[in-house]
Amino acid sequence: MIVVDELIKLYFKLPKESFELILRNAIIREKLFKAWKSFLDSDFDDVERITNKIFDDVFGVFLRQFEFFDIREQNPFNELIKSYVDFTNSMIKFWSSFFEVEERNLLKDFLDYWAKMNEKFGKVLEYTSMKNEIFQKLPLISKDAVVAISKAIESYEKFENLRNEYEKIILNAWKESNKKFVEELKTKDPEKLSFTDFINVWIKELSSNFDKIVKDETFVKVQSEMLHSLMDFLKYTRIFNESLVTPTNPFALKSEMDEAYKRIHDLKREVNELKKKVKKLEQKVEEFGK
Amino acid sequence: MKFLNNVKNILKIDAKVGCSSYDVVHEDWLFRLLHFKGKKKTLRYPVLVIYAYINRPYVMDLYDEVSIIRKELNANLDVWMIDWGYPKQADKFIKIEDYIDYIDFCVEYIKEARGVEKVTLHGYCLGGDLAIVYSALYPDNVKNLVIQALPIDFHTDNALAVWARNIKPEKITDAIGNVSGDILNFAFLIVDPIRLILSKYQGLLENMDNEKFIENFLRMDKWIFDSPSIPAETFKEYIKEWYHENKLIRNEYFVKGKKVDLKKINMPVLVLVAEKDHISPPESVKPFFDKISSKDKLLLSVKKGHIGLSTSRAAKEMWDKAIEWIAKRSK
Repeated sequence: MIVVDELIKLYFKLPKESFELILRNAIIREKLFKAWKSFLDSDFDDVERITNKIFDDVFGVFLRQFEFFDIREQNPFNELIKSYVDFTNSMIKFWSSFFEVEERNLLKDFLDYWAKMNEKFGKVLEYTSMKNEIFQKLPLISKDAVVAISKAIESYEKFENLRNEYEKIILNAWKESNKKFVEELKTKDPEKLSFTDFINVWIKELSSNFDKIVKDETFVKVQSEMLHSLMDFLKYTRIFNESLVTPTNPFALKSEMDEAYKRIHDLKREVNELKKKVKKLEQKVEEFGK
Repeated sequence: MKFLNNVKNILKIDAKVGCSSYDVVHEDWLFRLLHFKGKKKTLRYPVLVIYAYINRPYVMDLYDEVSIIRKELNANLDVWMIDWGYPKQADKFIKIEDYIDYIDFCVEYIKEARGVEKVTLHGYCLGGDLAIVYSALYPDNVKNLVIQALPIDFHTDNALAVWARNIKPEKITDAIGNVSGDILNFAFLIVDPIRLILSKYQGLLENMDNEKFIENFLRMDKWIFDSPSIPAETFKEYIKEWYHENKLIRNEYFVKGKKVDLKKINMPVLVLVAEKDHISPPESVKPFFDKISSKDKLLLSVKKGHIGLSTSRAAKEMWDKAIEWIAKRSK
């Protein structure tokens, strides 16, 4: 029996994709072995039930990637915003202790205002999954941020619908293939069909169906739009996050870093062109000297 | 579980990749020029291998029995190779013209180092497109052009081409910048899910007592999932201008204002095709063969897939002919 230590060693030895695919396929093979046994007992309903269940083992490799994109979890700036809120709270306390009593009274309303605003600002994090409340409870964020978060939510809803449609298409194709596989099995002699042959017949049936599906117009359209809406969600979430932390944030934003990278690359191209020109001039000078 | 238990056998295998040693003779932030260590006295014209900016170039030198680099070295060729590296977000503005500029730099570097006026280019997959663009722009610098597993007519009906024509690349790059290796890995799996997620690994589990099989399988898998990101600008450009608009084969592609005219390719050309290639199907390269003006041109094919063309023992005969063709024109 394989032990946990060996699995850990295996994980470090292999690319993460290979590790996952090998383990998933070992589990799939166990299930197929049971399906083959059912075939030998002529229990075709069980063969279909088992092979239908393997869908999650195969497509889970791909579909589970989307689990990371839950809107309530997806907020890479959470830590940054939390740090910012802590920072401004410290500043407010610092101001309070710095002023004399009379002055402190004079500034009370002002400080209360900032403390309240900061509290609301911190709560923005909790509102990102509450579409209906967001416009009522976020009067202090910029218009750009409101536009971005509404587009992010819209894209996410679109993505969710398309993801369901996408899963439905591949699940139907999977089940359809298994039905055909079972029909094919009914024509085979159990005594002559080894376990390996059994798997090969199954894979052949699935391949011929999926070769058509991956090029099918509806499938391609749903897949592309699913990808686009997911990307729109990520883009608008980032714009929203950036809008929240501007202009007081002390860190460079991704869009600002991108601008710097672009300028560096443009400069590099200019330097390369100049180097070529200098080299040509040097060659000419050398030829002239001869 | 019986099958899971067998997976232990993998732990015994040490599957190393890359069998030929080389010197890194130049580095330019991300890109590197490699010079393979071979015999001191080599044929006159050196070979510059230009790999795709997807995956890593060591597939050309995976292990001794199938290494194309080793075959070229054994034929007394002087072999150089460009490594495009692993782009980071700071590299997202790298464009195709930057790849062409670095090829030009390398060609000039090799010409000077070897005292020759021309270099043979050997392009693989999308690296083949880069080699073609360079050869059309600087034909006087290219002794021979060798291209393998090339997609150049992008309007084919293989799933990958159909998908690429249906995506809006700017949606992806605006959201995440570079297209990461993880995304590419999953896209390549899902393009043929039954064979690549299921059949291939069932094949491995079937052969768990065959050490040689496991070793070669692990080498291939290591390479397959060792995917660098594609810089955002490069991704946008090649998806839009090559896959959507098919500009390369239509002679409508421009680099820094210069037209890439395939008719300007007049040097000897060798095209290597995999008949079962689902990434660059044979019909994707054949129109190129008709569009160039080279008189000395040859197309060799083998009944293998995109990767099998480089790594399969069955392709040995084709490679023997290919290397002979290159060596004969490198004197």
